[in-house]
Amino acid sequence: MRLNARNAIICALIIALAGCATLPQREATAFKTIASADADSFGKATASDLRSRTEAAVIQSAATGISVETMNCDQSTAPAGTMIDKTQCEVKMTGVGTPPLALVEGAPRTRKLIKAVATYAAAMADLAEAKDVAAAKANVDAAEKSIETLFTISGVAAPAAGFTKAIAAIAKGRMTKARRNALLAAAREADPAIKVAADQLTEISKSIKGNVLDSAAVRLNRYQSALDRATETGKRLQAKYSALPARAGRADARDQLRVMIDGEQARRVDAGNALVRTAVDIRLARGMETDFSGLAKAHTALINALDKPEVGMTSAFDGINSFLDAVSSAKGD
Amino acid sequence: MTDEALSGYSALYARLDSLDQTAAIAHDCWSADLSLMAARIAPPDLAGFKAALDLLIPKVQAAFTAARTAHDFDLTDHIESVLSRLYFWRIYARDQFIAALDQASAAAMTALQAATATLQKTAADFDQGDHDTDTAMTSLQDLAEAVGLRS
Repeated sequence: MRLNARNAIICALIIALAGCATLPQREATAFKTIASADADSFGKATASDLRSRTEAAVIQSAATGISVETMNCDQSTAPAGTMIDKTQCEVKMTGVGTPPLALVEGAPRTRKLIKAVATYAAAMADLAEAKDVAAAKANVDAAEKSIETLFTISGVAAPAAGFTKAIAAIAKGRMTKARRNALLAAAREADPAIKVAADQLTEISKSIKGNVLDSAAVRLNRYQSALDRATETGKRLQAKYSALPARAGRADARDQLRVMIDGEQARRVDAGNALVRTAVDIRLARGMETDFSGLAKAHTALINALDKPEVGMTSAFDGINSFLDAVSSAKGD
Repeated sequence: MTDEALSGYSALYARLDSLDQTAAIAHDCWSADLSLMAARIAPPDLAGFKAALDLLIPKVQAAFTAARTAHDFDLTDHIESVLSRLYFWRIYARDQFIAALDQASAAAMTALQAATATLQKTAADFDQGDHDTDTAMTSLQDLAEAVGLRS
């Protein structure tokens, strides 16, 4: 009987340990990684948009009448004793037939939102991963001590081999369940917000990508025109220079032409470099991330893993029931 | 679009029209689009405005490229002036769309912050061990009672 009971205990122990729930660390880590990468990607996109549109605005020639101005930034215009609202200080592009284009980083709330998603994901991973493993292990160790003490105080004979380990496994299972429940409750609470964030990032990123490409097109046109003009002007000046006899009395004119030729050459170099820089921005913008659906999918996978009854916990508690039956048998009940 | 902006556009187009044949052809192509755009530029039809720009911009860009290839610098400058404005207007239209979407992020962020606070509090509880110990001891006490080790 005792041998059978011991076998049953060992079996129960194996079941309990095998079933001792592992929290869905893989899913939590995947979600954390995606959220962090998405926050970085979106931040880079909005910064790139601002940089490109600002450059597109400031390179407009004076003849277009387009200018860049600060709006509501001068404190001296505020009534005495008052402060201008800090949010009102803006840099804007203005001009006839020109939209009042804000030269500020866009989507401020969504940038905060994706950072909040990353913070949430980190908190989720912290709880699912290693941070409290040491505490959990200490608690399991403490549980082992407690049950040994319980046996001693109650005057019952020393438990069978592996008994305390089995109880520790049960305790660990219960702790894991508590953590799992906490994670699941938080994940369900956060899920609608994660879906909104994924949709927002996707839709807004498409627009930001379009904006970067449009401002790059403005830059490209400007620099190509400048390059063409500098090249043509340089050619004409060079032809004049070559036609000018190198004789006494014409040195000043030749020098002047030479300075002008050098000036056009410098313009060509500047325009060429700017063209290359713009081309790089265009390539980067074309590869810009605009599908953030992976964020919502990763979160759904995390919830499913937390909520999946066949993963971990059920088998662990099946083990507990078997174990209790086995202990009852061992006591001769 | 303000009256001032529209008159600015008209002036630009008039200048284009008076330049040469290329500009005249371009004007024929654009004039219908311009009036369509002017009708749709009002904020209530932002999508229509952007759609009009989507149709118009490639035509103006093609005219710009043609003028540039022909080394007609004056025409290139004029077209570029219009073209840049069209691009800026399309950026503006997208900005309005982004701003509308961005408003919705605030509510989502509040929900996320609440969930994060719950998680962080739970994590702190686990770190202190109170929650686990309680759970573990409840488990052990239940077990002890079940096996008759404790009354």
